Amino acid sequence: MKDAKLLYQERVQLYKDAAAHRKTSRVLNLANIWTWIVYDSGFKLSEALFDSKIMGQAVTRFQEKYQFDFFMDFGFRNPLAISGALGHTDYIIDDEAASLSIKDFSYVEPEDYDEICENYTKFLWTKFLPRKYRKLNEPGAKALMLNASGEFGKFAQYATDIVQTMATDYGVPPSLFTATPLFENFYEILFNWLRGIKGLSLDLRQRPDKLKAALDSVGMADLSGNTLKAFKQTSRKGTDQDRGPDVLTALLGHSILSKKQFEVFYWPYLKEVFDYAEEYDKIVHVFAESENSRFYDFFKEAPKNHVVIHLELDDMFKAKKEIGDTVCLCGGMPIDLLYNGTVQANIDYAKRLIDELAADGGFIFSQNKMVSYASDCKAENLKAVNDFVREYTL
Amino acid sequence: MSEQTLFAYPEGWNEMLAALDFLPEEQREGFLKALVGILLL
Repeated sequence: MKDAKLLYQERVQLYKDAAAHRKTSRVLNLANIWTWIVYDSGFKLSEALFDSKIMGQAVTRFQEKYQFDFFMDFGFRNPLAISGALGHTDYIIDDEAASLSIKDFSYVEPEDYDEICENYTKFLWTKFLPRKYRKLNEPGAKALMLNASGEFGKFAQYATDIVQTMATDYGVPPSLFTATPLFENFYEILFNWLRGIKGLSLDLRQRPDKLKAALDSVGMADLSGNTLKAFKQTSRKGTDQDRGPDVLTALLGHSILSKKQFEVFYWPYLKEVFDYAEEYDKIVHVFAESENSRFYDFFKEAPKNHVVIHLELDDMFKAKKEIGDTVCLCGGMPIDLLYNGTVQANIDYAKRLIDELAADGGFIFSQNKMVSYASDCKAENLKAVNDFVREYTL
Repeated sequence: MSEQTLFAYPEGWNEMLAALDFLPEEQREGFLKALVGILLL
């Protein structure tokens, strides 16, 4: 076993080399594994999601077993203890199925777009919070908010601690979701958290100008509305040598857009983060869920050697031919195979991915979909694949 | 300030900032914005 510090440096360098299409001695293995970490470590979701000590044990136990190079998440993605302090969550936990599902919702009404444009923080404070968290409309709201503040403080401490532990004990750089600045098209915030699929689909057709104005107003931003434009002001040129990507962005709501709609409602904002990467010599990790091939003409405009795209449902071999010269591809290992296939079938497919996608650089190995539920993966297959990927030299 | 106006802006927002007195004053705005952001999830 290598020293954790050396492993850390090797892993960061492998990420940088892959992003830059430099040929590497082995392929980096990124865990696109989320709540399955809790399931596989023998804990219940209802325990780990509300107890950061248990979550920390699940993450470290998981790493000892599988020895990944990088992680999408260290257990930070579902901060239910914070929303739980306000007496509400949109999530439904099923410990038996090890599943976490989300209810349908809409906390934005069509008439709210003007207020979002006027002052997004004001909208979140005066409209979103009291609509989502109904108990905040009752006496004692300030005390509830202080409770949530306390849980948020604990969660932030957990994030700091787990990043430190994974680095010093296991040589794993900061996870992408936990500790990498995340800027998304405001369309994604609307799609995932505020307006919902149904509402946003209607807005695309019935009030496209209002929607577009809101996207322009908030821009590429984090969950709190802090913008990429402001972040740029604090950036220095050059990629950070202590982490993999410098910035993360995530695409999911694009799955309901045509190419023509993408050009209007998505591309100008995605291009902003691409331009940032080029201008400041940074690396952007694009987490692109669903099937993306109809958007490849846009992805081809990414600055070469600055963008890694994690594709979920795409044909990776076709993607390699069409966009692989421009962007570094990430993903590829089908979770259907990880659950239903034999150990040998899994190793054979992993070998094919590496042979065909990584021979000349520009590929990071990972699971195609977010591994979340018990039926998303079998432990013996994942272990065998990881042992193979770690030892297989190019 | 009554509970009914806590979610007024900027009055209620400022009231909540004042209640975060366990933090240095200059950190409260960023903390509250981050908290509200994570409550989207």
